[in-house]
Amino acid sequence: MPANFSPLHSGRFYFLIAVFFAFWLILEANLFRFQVVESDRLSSYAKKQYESEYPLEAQRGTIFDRSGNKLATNIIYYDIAADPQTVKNKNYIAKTLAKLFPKSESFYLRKMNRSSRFSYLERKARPTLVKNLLEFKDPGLIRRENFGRHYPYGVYAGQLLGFTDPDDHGLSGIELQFEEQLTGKDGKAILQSDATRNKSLSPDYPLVEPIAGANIHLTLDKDIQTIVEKALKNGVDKMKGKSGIAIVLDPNTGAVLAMANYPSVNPNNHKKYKEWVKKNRAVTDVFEPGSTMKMFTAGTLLQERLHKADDIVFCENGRFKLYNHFIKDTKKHGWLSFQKVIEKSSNIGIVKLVEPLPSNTFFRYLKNFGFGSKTGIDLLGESGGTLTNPDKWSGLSKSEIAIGQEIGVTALQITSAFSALVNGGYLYKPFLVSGLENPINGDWLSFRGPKKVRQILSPEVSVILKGFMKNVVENGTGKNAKVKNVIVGGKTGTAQKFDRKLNRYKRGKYVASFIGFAPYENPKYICAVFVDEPQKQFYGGQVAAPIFSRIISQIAHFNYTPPAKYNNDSRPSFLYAEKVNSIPLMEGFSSEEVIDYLEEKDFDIELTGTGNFIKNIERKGNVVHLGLADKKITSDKMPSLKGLTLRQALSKIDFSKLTIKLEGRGKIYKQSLKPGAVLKSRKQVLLSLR
Amino acid sequence: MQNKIDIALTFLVTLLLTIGLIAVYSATSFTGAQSSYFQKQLIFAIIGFTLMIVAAFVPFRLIQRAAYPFYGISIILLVLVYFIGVKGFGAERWLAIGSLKIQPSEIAKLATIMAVAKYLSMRDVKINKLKDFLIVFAIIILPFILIVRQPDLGTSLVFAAILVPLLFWAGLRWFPLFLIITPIFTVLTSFNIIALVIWMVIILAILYFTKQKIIIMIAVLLFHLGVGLTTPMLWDQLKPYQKNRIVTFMSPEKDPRGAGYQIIQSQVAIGSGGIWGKGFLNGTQTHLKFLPAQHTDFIFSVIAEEWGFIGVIFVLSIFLLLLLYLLKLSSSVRSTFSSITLIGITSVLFFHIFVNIGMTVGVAPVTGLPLPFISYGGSFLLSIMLMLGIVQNISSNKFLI
Repeated sequence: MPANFSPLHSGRFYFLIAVFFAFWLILEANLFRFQVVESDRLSSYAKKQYESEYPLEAQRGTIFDRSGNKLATNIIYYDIAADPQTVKNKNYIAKTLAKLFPKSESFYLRKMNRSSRFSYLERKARPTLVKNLLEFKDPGLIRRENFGRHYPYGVYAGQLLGFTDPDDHGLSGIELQFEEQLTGKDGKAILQSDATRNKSLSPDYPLVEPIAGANIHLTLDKDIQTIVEKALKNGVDKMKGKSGIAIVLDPNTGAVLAMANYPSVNPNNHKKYKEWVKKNRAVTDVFEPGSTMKMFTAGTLLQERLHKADDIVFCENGRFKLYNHFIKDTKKHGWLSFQKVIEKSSNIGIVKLVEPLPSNTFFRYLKNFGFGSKTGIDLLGESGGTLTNPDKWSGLSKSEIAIGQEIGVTALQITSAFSALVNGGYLYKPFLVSGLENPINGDWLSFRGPKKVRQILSPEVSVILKGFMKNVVENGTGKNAKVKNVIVGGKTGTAQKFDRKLNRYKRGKYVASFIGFAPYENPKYICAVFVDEPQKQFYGGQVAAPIFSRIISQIAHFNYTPPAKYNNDSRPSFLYAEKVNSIPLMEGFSSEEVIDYLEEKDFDIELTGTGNFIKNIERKGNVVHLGLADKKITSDKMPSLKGLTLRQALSKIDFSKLTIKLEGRGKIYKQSLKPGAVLKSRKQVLLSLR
Repeated sequence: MQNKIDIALTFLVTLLLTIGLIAVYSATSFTGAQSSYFQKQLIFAIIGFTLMIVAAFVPFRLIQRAAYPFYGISIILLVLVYFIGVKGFGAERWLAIGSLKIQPSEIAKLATIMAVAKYLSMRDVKINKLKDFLIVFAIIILPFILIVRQPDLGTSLVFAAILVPLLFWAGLRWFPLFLIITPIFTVLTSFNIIALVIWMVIILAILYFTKQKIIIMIAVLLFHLGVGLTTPMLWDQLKPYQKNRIVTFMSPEKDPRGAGYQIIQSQVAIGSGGIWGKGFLNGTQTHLKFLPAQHTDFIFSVIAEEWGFIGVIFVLSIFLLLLLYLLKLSSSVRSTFSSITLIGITSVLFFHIFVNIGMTVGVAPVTGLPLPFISYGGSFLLSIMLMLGIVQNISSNKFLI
């Protein structure tokens, strides 16, 4: 210490050193506090300050019908709100809104006179509707854009599709059932903002892209659905019925083509409907089917070889006593053949015919047809119906069930079972969703095809039953189901409603039904119609059969009308289908008719080839491409003929390339040349039929 | 040549200048104009460094002789600034001579220190004589008053702050020192009556145990009571923004968007740096402009955010080394003038360092005092480098009286 050099006190030197160290320590201690002890808290404060998370909403999946029409989609809606403190043109806004919405001007004025800074005026308004307000300049008018669910076809398939809440969460139907898949996964962006509130994407975090919800493809056909809904509404209203259900299935796959409940529900505006109307009653409601059940009884009797179609039975002139209970017919019948019993829908006939059938066997068949258990269609709230075990049956039960009482079914269940009667005896699991699709690349996420559950009847029995039902329409109770140019079959049903509370049948309350198929030879459709509590008439043949006829007459031609039989003097029946977006399969039609039809629908037409008939038809947007040909088919490849009738097969064969040898009768089940085989020279093909 | 330059001192100064340039570069790198800030600062650093070397070679006698004229000129400049000064970014005033802008208050710091040193080094001057004490006091208080009137509170406080160390180092007795320092605490305690009473008891105890005369005891006590009672009244006369500054210093979280914003943002920047820091140019608080005055007043927060606790310890240690080196130098030089000048310069540096860094961590009020060697700003940097030049000169003339 060079204190001797300094004029100053050496103690003061050390004092100053101590002061420096003390202050140095104060600073270091504080820095330690912030940078070590409270670092986490301050780091998160910093983060909170400059990072903000923005959710990137995933688009909800679209619901398509089988031809790609959008049944449920997303559109832009606007929420109209006001800041009561700054809004200027209160009167104009209120007046404009009052014109557009069913609320009064004073309602909107009250909302705009609140003391808050934000007040909703209308939510989820369509942009086209509030166009004026969107363009209107007012400092206090707030317009928020957001995506919302929209159902372009309104009431059609309303209960089936279901609907969503304002935040687009499914509340019912397909929307609820596939909520998870439709919703997708929201993404997020971490934004960095600086002190001047400029925002930029943070380089530290990658953008998490939203995963759009899956698109759902339904087997439903929008055109068929439209026709069904209209016919059902028309028919139910005409009979002053309480409600109605109609289902169209493809009997060869189990695909649901249409499923309608009336009164209908518009999912765009679901709040105003009553709860029972919003249910998809086709799968939830259980009822006694009545006489349509006789077809399953008949199928069982034929398959068990207990009776032949021409066995006769005495129908007791309309009154038959069984276990102190009278079975009655609506008309007095004497001796009837089995076939006539079905045709006339004689209760007594069926009850007597079913006598030799053991209860357990009958029960097994009913179970095989799917009664008493859910079809597994995967629609929410599906009911399995009621079918009690035979050990609990009374002496009367077997007979009652045989004519459609003491058994509860759902509309879908009995329609699905009906398919097995006409498709050669196979029960298919009904399905509505054909696949889930990745909306970005169009890949199938899952795909569902037809699922054969079991065979119940032999094809021969199926053919006999089809004949029975053809006769019902041609001569019996179902005459009103007749369709011009199409041979159809079906069975009527008139069930008195059972009151569970009073444990007896209600007087004057019926479920009138008709379940049928078309066309007769190679059924493409099963169509079932149920009308609940019709007032004017109550027989299935009077109430439901006309609706069936109306539906089939319009949809049969979508892919079935032989050109030869085509009736020129009336308008082609497929024109009744309104709003046709997908064009019907019209291969084989005369080119003149097809062009007329397309022109009426405002399609642009492109023609290639020459000839009077359509060889192929292809639609791209609004342009339909028609390939023309002479009637004679020319093809250098062997077509697939499996499953076709001989007549159908012949129409597909190019006779310049093939000679034909036949074996057996019925449908083609084998062909000696493989489909797709190249036909260079004339070849012979052996077709095996059975 | 070699004995003219203090190698250790030059090394420490160069290190701090480099740290400063790096920090200024980072703090202004996002603005797009960083090159202009950085380049300007680089040029000032080079000029400053040259100035320091040049000052080292000026004959020591000339410096001694120049003390009074230097002081006189700086006082004239301070008066001039009062009439023809232009307002800077903060409260400070500048004097514009053509395109050159100078801040007379910066020059006045060194001039005042040297004037005090010169006076005290005169043969028959004794600091414990009342007349000499008052003259020293006057030398310091004159520029202080001129700067307060500017009004630049931060810089004027520097003068108040060097007063005590200069007197202390010059050998003023403990009791007068006690009389000078205690009123500060009286002001601070005057807002709480209990604290004031306790403080008065402590003063009384000290007076009693140091065996002061009764008259002096009463006079001192009455003086303190007067200060304690008038302070709240003076407080009420302060302008709202002045009150705000002080209140904000006490509790910044009361007003996170307003006056407390700077302090909170600074603490967040420092804290989020953690132990290891976010790395050069990676300070989010800095680069997202949350940190105010980041290249000037709050540059230390930038360093703390980007280099962490480790970097901060390093920088603070360099500063401590420098201060201790200057302190050792001031106790080893032969001339009183040298010693007093050194302790004055040391005090200025210490005060700037402590208040600036203390401000960033919230232990000192936001006064706008820049950090020596580091903060952006040419006038201040040059004045500091000139001081260091004087230190170099003294260091090479240790044995001259």
